[in-house]
Amino acid sequence: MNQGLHPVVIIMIEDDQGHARLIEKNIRRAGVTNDIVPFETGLAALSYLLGPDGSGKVHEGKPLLILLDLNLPDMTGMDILARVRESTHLHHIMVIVLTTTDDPVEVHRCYDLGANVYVAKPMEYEKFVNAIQQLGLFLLVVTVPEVS
Amino acid sequence: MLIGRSVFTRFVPLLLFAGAVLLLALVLASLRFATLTRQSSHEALDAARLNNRAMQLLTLVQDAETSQRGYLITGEEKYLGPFKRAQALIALHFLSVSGDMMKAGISHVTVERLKRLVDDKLGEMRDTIGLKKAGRDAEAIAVVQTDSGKRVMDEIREIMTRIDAITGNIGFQREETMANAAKWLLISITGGAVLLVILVGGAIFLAVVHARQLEVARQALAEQNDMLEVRIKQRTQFLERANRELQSYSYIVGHDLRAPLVNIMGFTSELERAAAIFADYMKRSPDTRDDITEKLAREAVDGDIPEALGFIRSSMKRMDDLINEILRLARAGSRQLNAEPLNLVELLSETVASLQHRLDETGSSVVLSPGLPPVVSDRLALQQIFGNLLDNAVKYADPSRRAVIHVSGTIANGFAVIDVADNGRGIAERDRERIFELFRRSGPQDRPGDGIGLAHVRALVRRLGGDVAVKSVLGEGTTFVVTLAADVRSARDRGEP
Repeated sequence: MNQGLHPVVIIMIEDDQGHARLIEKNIRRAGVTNDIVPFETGLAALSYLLGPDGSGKVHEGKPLLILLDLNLPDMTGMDILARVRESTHLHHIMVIVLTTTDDPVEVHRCYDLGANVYVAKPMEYEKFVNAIQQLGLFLLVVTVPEVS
Repeated sequence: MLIGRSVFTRFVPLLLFAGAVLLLALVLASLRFATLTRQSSHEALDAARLNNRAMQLLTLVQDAETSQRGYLITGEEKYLGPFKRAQALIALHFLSVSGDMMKAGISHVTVERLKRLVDDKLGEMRDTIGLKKAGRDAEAIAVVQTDSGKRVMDEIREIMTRIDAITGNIGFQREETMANAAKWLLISITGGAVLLVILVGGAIFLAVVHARQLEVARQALAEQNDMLEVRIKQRTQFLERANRELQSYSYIVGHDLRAPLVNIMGFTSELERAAAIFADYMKRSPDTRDDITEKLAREAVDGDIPEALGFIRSSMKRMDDLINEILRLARAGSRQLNAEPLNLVELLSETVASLQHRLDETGSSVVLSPGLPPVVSDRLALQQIFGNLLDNAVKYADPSRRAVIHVSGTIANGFAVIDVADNGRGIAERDRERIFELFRRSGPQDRPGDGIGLAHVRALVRRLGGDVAVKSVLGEGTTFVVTLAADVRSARDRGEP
């Protein structure tokens, strides 16, 4: 998953610390060694992603990947998705929605807004672990665009 | 209106009925007077006719006398014609007239007397004529000269005069009666006409009033139908809103309760994994333990196991908190509301006093408008509503300026509208609906809170027959507009949950 000088950075936006820790552990077990930058709130994640000028220029040239939870206390994951897609520099970075909801309407809206992958977090832990590890394996093989 | 109608419906038909009875009485009276008039005119006519026939009788007697005298003087047979005719007619005439005379009130004695007198006179005349025919002229004259015929004739005339007087009197009396009856007939007919006009007028009035009442009733019914439609629409809206809330509520509860559950299960597995690593390490004999297994075991005991336990504990606490909050909301929703007249200035002053410590700490102030309207509502619910809103206004103040919170209100159309306006950090547009949802919060998550206060406020305000809305400019301030039923009992009647 290393791409040239800049290995892919995984931005994990997840308000539940326990979930964040479990996701990180299971992705690591799948063999992913990339940096994971966790955020608990949408505002913190957006200010990091968009940078001071609000365009995402700070990350220019770096390959980024976003793991996005939809249910955040301060805003919805869809707001973040929309902001990312609207921004000048981040609009084609990879966004993976990872959330507990499997409501078809929500899934639809996320793809409409430009999500690349939608993964529903299963409620049984075995399946949850399985899903996260598969996601980790997927991350190992996928090619991620750089921030333009 | 109700009293007017009952008096009207009771008295007007009664009056009309009385009028109809009176009219019938007048018609009967008119009939009576008409009959009386007819009878009187008949009687008057009969009396006149009787008088006439009595005069004819007298004339016949006189004719006979004249004829007798002519014969006595001339001795010529031709003068006897009228006598013979009169003699034949008088008997017939008397027969027919005597009954009528007695009917007209002339006494039997008088009639008998008249009959005898007429017979005597005729007898005297026949005697003289007989003597004359026999050529005994001097004897005939002597009979006449006895004056007996003249006396009889005088008495006949006297009786005839009396009959004339009697029949005249009867005629006069009957005419009088007739005139009287005619007068009363006129009066009763006039009265009847007047009454008829009144009755017809009354009936028309009744019909018009009745028609108007029907129209009013029809309109009232139409209005009620419209109102019913509006109420059904309102109820449908309430139900739709309740349904939407229930959906979002079950979604939120499902999601928010599932999240800590996943943590508990996940970290239980992590715990098992770490325990297995440590157990494996412990099973080994000390000489087979290498650095790697030692390091893994140490990591499991020092890192993974306490971390997993920590997450399990915090997740369970989170679930407990969530369930408690949900129960609290459910309890608030089912608590019996207690309607009482409330002065909002006093009530809000108490709420401000309970926040005074925090206001002093942050240098904030609350300005209560003296024009806050009085309401009939639930004290505890209002305290919780405004306590939450004021608490939020202080909590989310803009750190660059002193918080000033204005509370003002008006009353209109049965609703009290209370504005709670602050100069705090404001709420982004996309969050203005979310903030009322359970466990959702707006803006930087830099202040303590669970995202419950506003969900609670909204549930309470809706129970009080109103709703809460928010207006805000990010970075300048927020105004929460609380609309309440001015009288919570009327809201309950309208079918609010």
